[in-house]
Amino acid sequence: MFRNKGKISVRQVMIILIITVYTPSIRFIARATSYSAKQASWLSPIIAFGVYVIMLFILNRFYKKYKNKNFSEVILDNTPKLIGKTIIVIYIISITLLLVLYIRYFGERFVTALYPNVDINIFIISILLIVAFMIRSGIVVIARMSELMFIIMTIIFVSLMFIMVPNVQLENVTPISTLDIIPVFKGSIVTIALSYLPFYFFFSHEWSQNDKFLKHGIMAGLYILIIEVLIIFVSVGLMGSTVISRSPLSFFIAVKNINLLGEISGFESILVSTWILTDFVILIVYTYSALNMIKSLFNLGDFKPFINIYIFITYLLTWIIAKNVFELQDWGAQFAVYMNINVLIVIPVIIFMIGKVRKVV
Amino acid sequence: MLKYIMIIGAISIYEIYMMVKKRQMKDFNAFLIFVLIALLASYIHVHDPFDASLSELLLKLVKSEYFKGG
Repeated sequence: MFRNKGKISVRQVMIILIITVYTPSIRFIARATSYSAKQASWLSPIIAFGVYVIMLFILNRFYKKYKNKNFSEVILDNTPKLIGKTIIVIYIISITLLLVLYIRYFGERFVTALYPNVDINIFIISILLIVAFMIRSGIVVIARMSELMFIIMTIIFVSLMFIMVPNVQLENVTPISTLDIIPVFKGSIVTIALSYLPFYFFFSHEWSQNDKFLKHGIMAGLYILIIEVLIIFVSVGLMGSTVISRSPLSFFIAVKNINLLGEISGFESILVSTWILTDFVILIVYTYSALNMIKSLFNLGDFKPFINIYIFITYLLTWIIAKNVFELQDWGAQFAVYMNINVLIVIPVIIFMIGKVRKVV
Repeated sequence: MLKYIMIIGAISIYEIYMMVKKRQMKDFNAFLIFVLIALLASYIHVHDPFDASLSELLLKLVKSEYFKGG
């Protein structure tokens, strides 16, 4: 039905959201939260869920008021033109930096975990070529592909949890007391930074209009909450917060330590396969969102002529952004997290408040 | 640097040809901005004029502990 309209449903948008939160959650959420919140780190996503629900209600107001319009139009409608355009430029820069981060991580993960002696360029160039090809198919194809990947991702994640949860040592994730409240809040900053939904509002004119935005949004939020809690719980529960807070690819290391019946190991290869699939979705969706932002900024007729040049720029930025993986990790933890919070939480809230004052929203 | 200029040139010729073919020349100015950004990025990538990566510059801005060492 939606294929005929060339639009995707809100349910599909939420599936894309879950997939795009899954990859960064696996990569660094356990490490980053356990650094601040130690054994109580698995409670951090609950606070992020609260923030997510507030954001969902704000975005729902935008969605209801501005049907068939994207977030750029919402921004321009609520702010003076110059400020509005500046905000869109900030969004383009931030999503490009995030995209570049994910592309570099995609390559680094291969050379770190699987192919240590292979040139990273092979992985980066091949994924970018596939992304450039897939973008032209349109969001409907991307959303349908995401649905399939979501099923694969869920099956693999649930299977891993079935194996890992029974081995969790409860002394690693307890005790929890009132002294943990502030560390949990500190740890929740990284989980809050993964509220990527406003990025998808830049192509919300391609969503099918239905009244189930809140319902599907809360369901997706609960799903994200469960996977984030489980990822942190099993990582810290198996390895301890001290080890996890010092490990790059912390969840990967926890999965690598699985030894079923004392014989079967090597489950990390299954995790890597889901990682590749979900990374692929992230790269496509972010590129699609960035191109939509560019289209709105310059009032373009079509963004297709910009696909190749934009992807080539991201390729160059992949090398400019960091000289090694340690710089990349530090940049992600100390800059990207706060950039995300400002762009994904603070700016939409400010625009909402301006809209409220002007009685537009 | 030459290989990057050649890639940017190839992309530009193809896209401008497609723009002319589809009568979308109103987007040409915006496209030109992206070509210039691509040329600038290739120059920075090849010659490294700041002698630092983008992360390094941004992390210095937020006074990261990354540079304290140890």
